[in-house]
Amino acid sequence: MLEIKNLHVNVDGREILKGLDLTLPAGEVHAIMGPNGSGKSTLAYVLAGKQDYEVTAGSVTWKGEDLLAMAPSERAAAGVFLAFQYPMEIPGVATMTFLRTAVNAVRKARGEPELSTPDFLRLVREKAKLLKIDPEMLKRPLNVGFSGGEKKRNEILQMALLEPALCVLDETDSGLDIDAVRIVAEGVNALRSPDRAMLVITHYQRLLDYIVPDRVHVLSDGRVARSGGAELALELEESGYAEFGEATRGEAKSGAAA
Amino acid sequence: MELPAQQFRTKAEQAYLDMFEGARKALPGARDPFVSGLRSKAIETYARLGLPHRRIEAWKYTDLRARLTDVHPLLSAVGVPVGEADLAQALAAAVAGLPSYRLVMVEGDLRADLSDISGLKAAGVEVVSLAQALEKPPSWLKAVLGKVNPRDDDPVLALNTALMTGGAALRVREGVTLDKPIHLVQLDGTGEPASTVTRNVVVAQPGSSITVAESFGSLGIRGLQRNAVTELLVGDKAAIRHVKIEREGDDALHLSTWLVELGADARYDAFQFSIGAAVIRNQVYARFAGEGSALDISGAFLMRGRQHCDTTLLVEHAVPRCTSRELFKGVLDGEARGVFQGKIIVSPGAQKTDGKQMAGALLLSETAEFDSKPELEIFADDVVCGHGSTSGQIDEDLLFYLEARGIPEAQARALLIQAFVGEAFERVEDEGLRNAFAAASAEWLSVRLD
Amino acid sequence: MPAVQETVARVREIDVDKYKYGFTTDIESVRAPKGLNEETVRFISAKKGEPDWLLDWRLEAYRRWITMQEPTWANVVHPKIDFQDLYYYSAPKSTEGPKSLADVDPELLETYAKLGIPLAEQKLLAGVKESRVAVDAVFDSVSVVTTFKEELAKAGVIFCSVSEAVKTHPELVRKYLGSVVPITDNFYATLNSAVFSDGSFVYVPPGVRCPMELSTYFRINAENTGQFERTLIIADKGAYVSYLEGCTAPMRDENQLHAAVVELVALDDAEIKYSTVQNWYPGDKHGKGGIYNFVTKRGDCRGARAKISWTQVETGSAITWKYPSCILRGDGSRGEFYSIAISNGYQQVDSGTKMIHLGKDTSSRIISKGIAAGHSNNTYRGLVSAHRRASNARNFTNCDSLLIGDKCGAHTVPYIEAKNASATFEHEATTSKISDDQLFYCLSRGLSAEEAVALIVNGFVRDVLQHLPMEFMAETQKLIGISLEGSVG
Repeated sequence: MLEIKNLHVNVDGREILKGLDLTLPAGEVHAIMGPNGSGKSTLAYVLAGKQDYEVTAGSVTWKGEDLLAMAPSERAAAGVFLAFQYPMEIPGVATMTFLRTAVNAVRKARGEPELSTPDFLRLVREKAKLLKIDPEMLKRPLNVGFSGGEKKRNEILQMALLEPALCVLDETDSGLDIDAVRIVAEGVNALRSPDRAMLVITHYQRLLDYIVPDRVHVLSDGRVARSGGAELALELEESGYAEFGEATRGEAKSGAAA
Repeated sequence: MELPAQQFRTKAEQAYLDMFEGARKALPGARDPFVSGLRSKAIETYARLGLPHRRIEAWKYTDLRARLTDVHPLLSAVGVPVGEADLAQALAAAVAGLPSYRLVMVEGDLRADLSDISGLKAAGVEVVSLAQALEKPPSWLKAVLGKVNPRDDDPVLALNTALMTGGAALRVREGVTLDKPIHLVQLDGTGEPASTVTRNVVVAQPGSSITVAESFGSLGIRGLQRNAVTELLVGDKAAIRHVKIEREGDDALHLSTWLVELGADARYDAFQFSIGAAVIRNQVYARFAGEGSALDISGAFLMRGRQHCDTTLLVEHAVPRCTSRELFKGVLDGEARGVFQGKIIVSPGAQKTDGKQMAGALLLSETAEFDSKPELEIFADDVVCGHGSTSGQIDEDLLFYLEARGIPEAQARALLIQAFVGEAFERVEDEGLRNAFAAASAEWLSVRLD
Repeated sequence: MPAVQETVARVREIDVDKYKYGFTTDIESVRAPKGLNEETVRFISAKKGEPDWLLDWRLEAYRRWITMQEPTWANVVHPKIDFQDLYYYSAPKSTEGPKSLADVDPELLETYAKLGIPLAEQKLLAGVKESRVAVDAVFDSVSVVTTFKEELAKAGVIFCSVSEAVKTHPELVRKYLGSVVPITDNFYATLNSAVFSDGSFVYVPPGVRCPMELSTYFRINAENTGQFERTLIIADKGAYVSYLEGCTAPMRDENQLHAAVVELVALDDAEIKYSTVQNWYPGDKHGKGGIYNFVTKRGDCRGARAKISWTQVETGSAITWKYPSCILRGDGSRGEFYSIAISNGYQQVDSGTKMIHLGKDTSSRIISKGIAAGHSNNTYRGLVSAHRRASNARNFTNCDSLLIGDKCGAHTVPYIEAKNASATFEHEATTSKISDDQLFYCLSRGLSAEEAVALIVNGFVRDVLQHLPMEFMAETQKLIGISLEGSVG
């Protein structure tokens, strides 16, 4: 379903991904782990099409098409969804307005009819309930004044509404307490299906207790250094990333794009 | 502020003096000593000051003397036929259809056929046509006309006093709360380029509460030169919500001055929405004269082409314990230029003042320009005052977030622009007005998207 | 809250007579005849043995000056200055041209010792460890001595008085003098160009990091004398220099004029750090006397990635009119302005900066802290502008004002002009008084009102303090205490 071959990516003239290979079949959940600076978030942004992430070599094929040739909104329409590590705050845009605009834009691009307002509201209420999101929250400006947990739940709500075929979760557990992690994970698990693939990027094993992956890949210095089953995550929890170029396991560093 | 006496006059400067001389005997109130005294004093002030130019600090970014080369003849009411269809066309449809007590002035003439004068009277608001009232002003009007937060250093205001030909004067009875806005519609000009000079007076007596919407439009005139003044007296414990919607021809000159004075425990919430005209100068002089009052003066402007919009505010905290807030948001495209000058003065002794001001501009093109001058002048120590000003482009990270959710770039940009000005719209309490602004800005943006 | 009221009450009895540097030095002087005309200009030029080109330059400035009007836009009030009632040149008789330390009049050395200025080489500035500062001492119209010259020369750094530089490095002076502040610039700068007496000259050659802090100490001593110093600092490609400026004057009943010009030129990758502690006599508690400080300071980031940083602590002068500015001409250049301005008594401060973004990817930062006490007025006035070509210009401005007492004024007048869409400007300003809660907290921990205010004010200005060189930091903290001394007993 997703095929990444020899991917090289520069950010501000510095090479971050240095020949990354990855195959993600439909229906599977793969975890991407690795020390800070190994290129985890870069991979997430490149898949979503962020500017200033320059692909210098390699390819990304999505359902047989060249993903890298698509604009960010075309990727979303094609079913690629990135749950941001730091969701953007947009004052002046009500969350509900944003959700409806996004859902209808994607539906339109997929050749589906736009949802009527009552249908849309019904859909949002149903999905929000699952994620324990207070409907009042959706009247507030997008992510403005939301707690860390509310922001992440809002990301998963968007994922549920846009019905993507590829979900990329970038450090979705960062900054969340254990209860919030559980709620978010339940939301994600509810979306697991045979025709949907997921890429769960995380620094810690903790999230993988709740979202059990089919495969785990360890990223180091811009490449996949090791792959294995779910047990690899547990092993890393024990031994840390020392062998992958990080001396001590520190807190997940904020803002590190690489 | 002492301004230098004018030594040489430009053609336009002289034209106003000639206009006054020519019209003097025919202006409303020419035979009334109070009115003619007011006019004589004003024209003297103008003659002393001349047209403002960039060396006058308050007009640093809007050189009116340089921009105003030809003065068009003064309009007087000739009874142009105007119907609902004309109204809807001249104003945005959402604005024209606003549920309200509507007062329509065509070329300064208060038109009974288009206005709900009787409805207002029944609700407790006295309404007079200024043109008629000036001939023999009632005593209540004499007590306020030219006396609300008066200034003698403003030539544009002086010209208005000297030449005002029409408008409306309203007095809201003590304790009256109106159920819907008073909508003052001003439409001017059908034919040749012309000047229009109008004044509205609003007196909210103690304990009253009203919303005043002023909308300006034109009936297809070219080169309209408008000089509009509104005097608002907010009585003790009274509240006025005041909005202005400006949408005139691409070649119009729009000079607007609001003079506001607040009594004790009073409240004034104003919003200015500017979208039309070639050159706009919105000036608001507001003064706290009674303790415990609050005001909010906010606005939004959307400019493109070579449009120029100048917002100049002066908020004077003359007494203790008052609160002021200002928020202005501008979107500038093409070669448009936005100007924001906001000054908060805290007089000696005006303790416990709380004043905050914010201006922001979004520049959509390489050639747009935003000049901002937020000022604080503070002579009391127990105060909390602040201001902020920002200018920049659309945030690329926000744009990416929206695009990653499937919203195409152009639509995402439009959404972010709307969100930017939308923050200012949130200051408007009336939902109908808020929606009208949002609709007008969406319309403005749709032109850009095409 | 009683503590606050007490503080305010004490502010009313403000006492600025505690100026520590108000003594006069009794020394015989040579003066130009009173008044200003072409002859005065020729007299000054001849006294300094200047070449013709410089005399012509001065005369051109003078002829222009007589056609100019004093600027009136600043928020300061003063009686009209009679420019014909001033001496434009005064020099200690014993000083004829540059001297070695051994030749300096002992009376002068004692004066500087009293001011705490180390003129003896190797001697350290009080309270500072392991650091040496080269000093150019300017007394009225002339430089009396410059220390560490030889050692600096070894590094290739030229540090001397401007008068000396005219003789020894005429090509550099001619190339750069007036290139940042042209003689036509403004009333006071033009006056300075006509009659400038002395000041410092610094040239740091390419790639050289100046091995020590350089500093100039200005002292006005003579009566009825204006001081018009001119400083010129050039950092060639990749060079670095940090420069400190200090100044004092005796207590005199009449107002004295100080109209200096400082020009900085930073070429590619060069950096100049310019710090000032301005402590001219501020006048007495009735507002009598004090220095009129009308100064033009400007830096030109002429090369790519050049950096100029101004840090100022303004506590003195009856009137301060001063806007150290940066012209960000080189692509990627950076300007900084950090300011603490304290006014007390009847002082008037109108100060700020201009950041003119001309090049691409230029950035600037302005942090200004104004503190007004007594009957003073304290205005921040600043301009940030990005021109059409200045894509990606960035500015951040923060201006905070603190009021102590209800008879003073604090004003903020920023001009922000964005003519480029990719310019990102952020400006914020606040005005408030010392927080009752903070004060109460300090008092309840046993601090006196005076200590509490000094502590809180020092906290208020910390963002700026940290940009001062070590040599000045301790001195400045003390100075803040002294400047506000009257205000809290």
